[in-house]
Amino acid sequence: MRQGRIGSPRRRLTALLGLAAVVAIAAGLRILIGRSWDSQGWRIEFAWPAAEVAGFRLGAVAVASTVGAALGISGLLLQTLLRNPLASPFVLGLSSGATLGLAAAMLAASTVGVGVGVGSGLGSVVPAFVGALATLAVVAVAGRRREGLDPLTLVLAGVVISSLCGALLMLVNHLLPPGTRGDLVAWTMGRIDEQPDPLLLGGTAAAVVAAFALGVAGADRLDVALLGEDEARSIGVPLGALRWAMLLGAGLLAACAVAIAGPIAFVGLVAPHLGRILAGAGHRHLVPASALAGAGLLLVADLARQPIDLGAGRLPIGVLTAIVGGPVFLVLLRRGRLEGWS
Amino acid sequence: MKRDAVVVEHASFAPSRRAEVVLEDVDAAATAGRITVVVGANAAGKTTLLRSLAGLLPVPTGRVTIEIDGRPWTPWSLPVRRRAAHLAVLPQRVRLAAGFGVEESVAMGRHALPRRPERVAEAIERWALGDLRERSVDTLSVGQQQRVGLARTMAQHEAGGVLVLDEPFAPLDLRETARAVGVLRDAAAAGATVIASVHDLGLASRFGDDVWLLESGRLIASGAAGEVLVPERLEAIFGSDAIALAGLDLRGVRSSG
Repeated sequence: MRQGRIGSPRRRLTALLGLAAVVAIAAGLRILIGRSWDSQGWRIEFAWPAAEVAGFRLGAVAVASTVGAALGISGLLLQTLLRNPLASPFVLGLSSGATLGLAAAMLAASTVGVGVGVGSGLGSVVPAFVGALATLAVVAVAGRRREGLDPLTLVLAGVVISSLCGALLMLVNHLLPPGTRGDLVAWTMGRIDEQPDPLLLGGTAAAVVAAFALGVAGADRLDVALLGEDEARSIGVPLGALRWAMLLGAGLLAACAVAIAGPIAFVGLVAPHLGRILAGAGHRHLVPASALAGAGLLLVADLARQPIDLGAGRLPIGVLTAIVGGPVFLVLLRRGRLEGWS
Repeated sequence: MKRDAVVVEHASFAPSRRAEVVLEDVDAAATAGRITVVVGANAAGKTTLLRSLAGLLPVPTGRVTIEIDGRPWTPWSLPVRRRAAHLAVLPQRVRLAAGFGVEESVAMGRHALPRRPERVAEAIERWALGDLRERSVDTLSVGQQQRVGLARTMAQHEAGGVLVLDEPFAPLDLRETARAVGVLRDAAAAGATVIASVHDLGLASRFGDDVWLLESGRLIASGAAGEVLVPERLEAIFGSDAIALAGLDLRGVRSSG
């Protein structure tokens, strides 16, 4: 978009290849780089790991790239649906809903006296997923109009439901036994599991592949969806069904991502913008670019946090993405990269 | 040449929850090969009428029909492809997709139709957008964006179809207005049914073959431009000060119409 010009098709393709290369390099480094403990303290080593270790690191790579791609596509679909550059998977309140779902499950478990298994592994994934889906349902119903989904109402409903979930979360926190509050706080910092549940990860990966394929196949329609409602209809794209598809697709992807990795901030917001800067606004290139940018961002963040230990273990991934992602977004904003969206 | 025609019968809009502009028992017909201009004060119902013609609003009472190959259709329920091929629309506020180039934006008009790149190239040339082909639309002026919107609408328009344009000239300078008038006249000459709202009464009187005059949701006059746009009627609607301010010489229109 230099001097107001759009990139040539060749440049867009080059950008996609570049993004894919970044993903591959980050994944490779994540597998090769490790830490070991000796008399001098923690040490970073760079070597081909033993098979078992390689398996763990491969697990982390699979989680980071799948979750990152899910967040990237989800954020893109929401920005297109809501015609709003500030949209991210979490404007709809999905992360608050997921956190609330988990907190409620922990409270229920501690009240009944079960406790075991809730808050870790599948015990955190299921309640978080249910919480995110419940929020999505409430937002979708609230954003429904006679004429179809209304983007502005969706955003406002998301904001309201986010803060409502926040309030309920405080209530649940207040009621939780003090010993378990830490688990909840740790969960909100995000995590890249080195031993992911294969079924869960496989399901998310399948959703990502499906969204990717549908997004590329329907790229022209997504382009037209950026126009006004009247224009889209006149040109031959009634937005009704398309908006529902975008909302449900984006919501499901975000719910999967949040259930696996916790509420990881800014990836879903920044990835589509990076994709747009590099590969242009057309969805044929932008859908792959957003997926690759999301995967790349999360892989790089996961790689970067490996050596960062402030005395309490490796830095949680969500902390890093928020600390880095916020300023990055601010720079994009200041450099006018978001212009033209109104 | 296949020609589509548009007929409005007793179309009414009751105020809805959202207090839309009311239309009351509007009866009119637009003829293929002619330019019909819709005139009226602000909030007279021009946009509501045009949107119902364009199939962007269902008509609760009465009927709006567009005749395609001898068969009447309601614009609101036209199947997607048929609609795209027979009904090209320019909304009041043209909205383009941020980050897209001018050529890409014009080509979006062909989305539901056979691609035919020559139609896109022709529209770009006709609207003098050649130098801006690769420019991102959000770096354009409002007038340039309007031209892109018009070019997109014309790239979609198939000969003999219906063109509905809400204030097509509003953001254009004189030269571009003249260009737009030329393009639309050519389309009409090639058999199109052109229906456009125009604020500028002088322009309306020179551009339109026929005029629909709306006041407070009612069609108070329709027919040949010279018969509808008479001073007494316009003064009654807009006030004599406004007619004097616009420096309108409507006698000239009357004699030529």
